Amino acid sequence: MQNKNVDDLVRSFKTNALRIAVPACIVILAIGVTFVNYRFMSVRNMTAILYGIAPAGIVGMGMALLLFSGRFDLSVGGIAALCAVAGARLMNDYGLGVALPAVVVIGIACGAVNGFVIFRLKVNSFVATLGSGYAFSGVAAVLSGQSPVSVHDLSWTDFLNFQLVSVPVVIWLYGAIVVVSLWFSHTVAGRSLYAVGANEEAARYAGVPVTLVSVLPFLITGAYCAVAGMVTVGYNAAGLATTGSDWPLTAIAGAVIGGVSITGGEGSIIAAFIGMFLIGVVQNALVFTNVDTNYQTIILGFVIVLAVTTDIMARKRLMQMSGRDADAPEAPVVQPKSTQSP
Amino acid sequence: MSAAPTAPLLRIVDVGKVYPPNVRALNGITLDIRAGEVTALLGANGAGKSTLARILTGVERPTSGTLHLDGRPIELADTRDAHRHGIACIYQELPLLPNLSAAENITLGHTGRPFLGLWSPQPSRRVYAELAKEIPDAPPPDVLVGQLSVAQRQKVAFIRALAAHPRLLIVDEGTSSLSLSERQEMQSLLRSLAHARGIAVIYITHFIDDALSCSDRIVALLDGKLALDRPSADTARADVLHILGGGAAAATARAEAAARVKPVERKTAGSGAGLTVTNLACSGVAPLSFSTGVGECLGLYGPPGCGATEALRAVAGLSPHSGRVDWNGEVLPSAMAQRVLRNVVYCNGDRAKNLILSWTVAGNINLLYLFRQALLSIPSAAAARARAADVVSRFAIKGTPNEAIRNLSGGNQQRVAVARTVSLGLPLLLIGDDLTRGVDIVGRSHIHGLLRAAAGQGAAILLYSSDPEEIANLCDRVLVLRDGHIVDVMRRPNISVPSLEAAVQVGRRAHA
Repeated sequence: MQNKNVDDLVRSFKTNALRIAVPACIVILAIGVTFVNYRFMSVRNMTAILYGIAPAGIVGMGMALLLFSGRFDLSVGGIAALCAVAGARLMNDYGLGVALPAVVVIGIACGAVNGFVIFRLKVNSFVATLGSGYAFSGVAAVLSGQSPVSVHDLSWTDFLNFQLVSVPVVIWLYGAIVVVSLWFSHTVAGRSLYAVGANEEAARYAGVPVTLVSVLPFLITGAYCAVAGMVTVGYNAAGLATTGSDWPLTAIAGAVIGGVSITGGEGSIIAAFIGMFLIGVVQNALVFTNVDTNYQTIILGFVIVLAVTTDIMARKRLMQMSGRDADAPEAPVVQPKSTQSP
Repeated sequence: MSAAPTAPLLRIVDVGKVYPPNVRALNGITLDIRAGEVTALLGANGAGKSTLARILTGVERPTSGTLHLDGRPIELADTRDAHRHGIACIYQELPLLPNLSAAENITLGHTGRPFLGLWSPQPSRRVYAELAKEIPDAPPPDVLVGQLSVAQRQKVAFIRALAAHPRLLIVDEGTSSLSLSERQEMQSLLRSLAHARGIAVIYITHFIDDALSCSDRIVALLDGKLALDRPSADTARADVLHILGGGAAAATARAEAAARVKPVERKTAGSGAGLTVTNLACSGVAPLSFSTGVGECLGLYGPPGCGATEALRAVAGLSPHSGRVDWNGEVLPSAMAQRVLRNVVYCNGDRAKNLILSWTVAGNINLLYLFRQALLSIPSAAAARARAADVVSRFAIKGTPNEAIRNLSGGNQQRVAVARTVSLGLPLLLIGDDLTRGVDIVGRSHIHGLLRAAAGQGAAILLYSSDPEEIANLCDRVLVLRDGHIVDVMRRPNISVPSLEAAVQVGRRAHA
């Protein structure tokens, strides 16, 4: 019995070691960069990192909720672009007070479109959101015309950059989104997302209204995309139709690096936040060490593949650990020796 | 070739299997398998039948002992090795590809053509036709496997195993999803393969009577050890039953566990209580009307494809249906979640569908209670803990609330699913869809105990089972179904395995 416990401990350590492998590498990288340039670890630089990842990070919180339920949304860039352009135009025409609530409604409506296609028309979330994302960015391009929609009144930009307790308001906003997401993930609706992600059939048998709870994170993600789109309007003092083109990948990668399972049912909001922060650290460290932007993309792509790989390896190991007593045998395929009869 | 004693084809000598860290699945098994004989291999879940089968098919390697084929020691490093030595296996989960035709499933990967040559259906059809001659009523070669009935699929699996020209054929519960007559047909096929073609057949099954009637020899395992190895003709049913029940120690434990199952809180049922189904129709089910009341266990029984499962799923709200389902004087809403809230709960025999195996016991118990709280409220961790501890102790579940449920035995997992449902209290309609499929005798008797206790307290139970014995044991009333129609209604005490089978046969003739 003792032996078994020790053995299980070793196994679980090995599994967890796999899980934290990528984050650990990034932390080591950060320490290394600090030796090259001590300013890297400063509060000021950490604030800069959060400032940089805030828009994609806000979207990443919605993406994490979707990943818990075993789905994802590739249209987040498109929704954000649509909201950014529409938001900039509404700000110019009607002011911030109208623009803000209006884009949130637009974002939720986009999420509802995704939900309708996925749950009513039964298209899988990959195809549905890949397609709708194109459509949303198309609408953004039409609304924007040839050039970005410049914002005349810079009060929104000033507001986001206003230092509240020596931290810009946009970071407080990001923090608020994290807290709201964290709260949601612990509610009955949030807990049921994990059940749907782990085993949709079992969740249905246990009385989880699967469609209702699965559509919620799409609506939430839509709203978050609107907020993120408006943040970029503040950053750029303009609404760009190209906003967020790399967000789907960044948002998924951040969550997965933090330990949210790409196959659903596992992970936490905090993990997704940490993962996104680590992506910011990598990008920032590469800037600090004067690595070309194009190389940054290569390295980031590599990190993402590595994170997904370790997630799958850890999952496999976990299955082996506990699946050893299973009754059902792995079925080998019986194949004929030759196609000729004797 | 006759069934006269010959030199053994395969000698299993002192084979043991230890899973790390120290789970002893098999312990010193010494056994001779003879050509031309059907050897029935019996044992409770976890007794080591499947492990032995996996060793013989090269899926796993023994940690001690040796295998001798024709007197020469052999090593089976993988399934290909086993295959080269002429060992083939038919598993309970049929590994057939539904989107290919029967013939293509047989020659999978062996098209008899060069790798980059053009594909043609002819070679596989030829092979299939040759092999199918020996199987009565084999499905035609070009029909897609996905469109075949379970029984017909079983035949395709047999043909596929025969395509390898095996000397040893292992059938792992290959007949568990078949009706009695279909099983009998399959068993006569097994016998003819053994006696006429001289193939050694190992038949792994849960059904004692099947094993006794069709095998030449009975081998039973208990806790990884050989407990019985005797010619079938000299074996008494009671001896086998005792071993399958886990021996004397398990019988005592079972009695104690049964004594520990405490009654659920009794609530009085109002008037109009119970389930009334009026003209329920969905795919595979002709308009059905039936009702069941407080404390009754109503069984649906029939051959595979009779519509019983479809009817259960429709009542549970899993599939769309026409007609009316009334529960306790109220028309049930169509959404399953709404029905579960009204204590109309469906339990599937497939544990992997019923439970979230990656979660803990407590997590699975509390999942059923999750939506009894407001959507945006945060469920209380303390209440969840208390509830899980209560269900685990009240229903005598082996295991702790915080244990991963996949570490529990199959029977125990299923017991969690039933126990959490019963713990909801009254009024309760428990819909059991072949609840004890693949569960051994001990686990089965536990679950039957739970269901009986629940019915005794006033729950309504609606049950389908592929096992007539289970229906006979549990049900107060049985609707015999055939092609979606009710062909017979039986009441206790007239329900027995033979009468059920007879009713199915009569129903079949009436519909032919």
